[in-house]
Amino acid sequence: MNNAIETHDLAYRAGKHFEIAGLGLTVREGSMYGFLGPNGSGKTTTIRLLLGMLRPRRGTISMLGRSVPRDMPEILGETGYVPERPHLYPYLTVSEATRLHAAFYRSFDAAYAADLQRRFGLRADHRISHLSKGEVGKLHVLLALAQRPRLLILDEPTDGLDPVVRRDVLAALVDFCSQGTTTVFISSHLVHELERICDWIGILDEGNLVAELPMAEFKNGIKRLRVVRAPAVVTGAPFVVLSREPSDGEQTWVVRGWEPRMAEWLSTANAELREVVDLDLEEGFVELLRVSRVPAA
Amino acid sequence: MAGAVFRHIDPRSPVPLYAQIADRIRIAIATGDLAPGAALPSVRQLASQLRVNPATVVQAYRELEEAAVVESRQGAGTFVRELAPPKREAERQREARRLVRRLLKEAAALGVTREDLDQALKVEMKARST
Amino acid sequence: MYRQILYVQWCALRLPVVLLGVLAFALPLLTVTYGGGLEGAPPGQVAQWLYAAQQIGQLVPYVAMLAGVLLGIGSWAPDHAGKHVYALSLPVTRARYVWLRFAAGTTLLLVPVTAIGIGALVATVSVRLPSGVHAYPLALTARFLLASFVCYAIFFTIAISTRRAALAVLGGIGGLLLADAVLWGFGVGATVTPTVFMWLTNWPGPLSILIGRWALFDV
Repeated sequence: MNNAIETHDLAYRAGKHFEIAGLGLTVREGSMYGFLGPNGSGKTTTIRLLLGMLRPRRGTISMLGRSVPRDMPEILGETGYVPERPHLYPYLTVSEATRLHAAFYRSFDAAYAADLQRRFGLRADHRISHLSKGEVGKLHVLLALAQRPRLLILDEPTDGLDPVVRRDVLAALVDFCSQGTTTVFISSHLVHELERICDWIGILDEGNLVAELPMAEFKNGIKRLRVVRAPAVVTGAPFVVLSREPSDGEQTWVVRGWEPRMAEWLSTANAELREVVDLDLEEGFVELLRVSRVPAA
Repeated sequence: MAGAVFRHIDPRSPVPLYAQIADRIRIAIATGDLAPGAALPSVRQLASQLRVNPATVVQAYRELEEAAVVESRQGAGTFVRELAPPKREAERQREARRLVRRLLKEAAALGVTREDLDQALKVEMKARST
Repeated sequence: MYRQILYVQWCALRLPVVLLGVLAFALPLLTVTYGGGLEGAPPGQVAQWLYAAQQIGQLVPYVAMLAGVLLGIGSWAPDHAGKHVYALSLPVTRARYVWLRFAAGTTLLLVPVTAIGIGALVATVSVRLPSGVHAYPLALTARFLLASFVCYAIFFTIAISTRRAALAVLGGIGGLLLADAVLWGFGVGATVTPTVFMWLTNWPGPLSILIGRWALFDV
């Protein structure tokens, strides 16, 4: 199985304070990969690097088996891009913008575009400058999907949109994905949306990829443990201890890669496991970030 | 299939999404909302309706198929199985236990007590029998 | 692709193109209103009329330059506004995209060129010229075409150049002026800037097309 996106040691710097250092992303073909990270962590910059809009200081990028930036036109011909900020010409109408876009993509499906236009409730003769924010967002998604791309890159596609628009956009996205084996790379800080539709997750923080693993593994594997008589030093644990905090004579551990049978290990260490608390994606994400910024005790 | 059946799919719940979906379908079959031989929505339709990864729906359907609750027919879709009467009782009892186990786990996650559950069960059963 | 880019460019530049077309069409006709039917008129009157025709002719290069500047910069205005992100996301090489824009702008430039051509022809046939005076509609149109195209190409390039390149050009001009200022300090008259200017505007300099005969009617 090929990787739709692959980067090795990707580095970029802008100004004194923003840096992406040695990023190694792997997005499997056909997966729905959620790119999660707080604001300012470098998600949009990474996407711009992937699309050849920025030049990295070092490192390699491969998209759909081709090299960036050498094969950029071929790659872009099969990539649908929904930007963070709208970038269509505001003086065009919906249908004019659609026709312009269609002229550049061989695989553009005009019938599908018309269908999406109807589903999204967009009027063909409305000027883009007169559309609401939600309608502009929908138009961008429409154009990207109507290309019938092999790879979809969405940069915060539902940010700032009201819940109804968000549902419509996600439903159309999922519908499109069920029709084939498109790879979806979606960056967002709206954790709960990613939680529903993504099967892989990559977490970016301050330019570093802190975690990259299947969604189910991440969700199931992060737990909060209440441990009594915890050993002073934890060595050889079958799970990864992300953090330990004392509270009221016991310790609260946040661990990764937990499985229920690991409770045995704790008893061999003479500790007692009082409680295992499931963390949802948002809590797990917060814990992981908190921990990756400060070394664990 | 009524949208109400799938309301409250909760990605935050410890129960995996595919299991929640499979549960809802089982409940629908048990209550008669889905008759034997009835067609389940297509993977594409349901995934889009619920806004979940299509693979999740596929997994739910596969689980139900393995449990012989539904069967998939080439090119036609997935349908509720018609079970022979003798099997029905054993299947029903297994289903009931499975449902209760999941229900208890979800209830615990939501902070719902046994008493709350008991009460709710009585109310719902009464509503159904009228 | 070209057709769509042309359409999009037209949508953005409709107003200036039409206005330029009207202006270009009107100027030759203006020349004629100063005195049609001069056949048999006294030489003094003819000379006066020719002088007026020349004056109006002097306006034409400005219209050509205006057309070049507006279309050169206007071709990139929509992309500039969006920081070129849309163009960069399209599956064409940057060179190809630049070429598409350039070709579309050139096509739009043909509107005022055609307008002045038609205007000049109309003006020519509507007037009975005294002997010794000739009309040069085709020469005028050709000159307009070349002049506007040169300006268009220059400003198109300026519009897409990076900030660094634009600063380099401005720096170059500043350097010339500075050189002359230094020479002036040494008691030598300005020689650098005028020399460069002469080189640019005399054949075969690129801007030489702007200097010359612009009158529709002349001896």
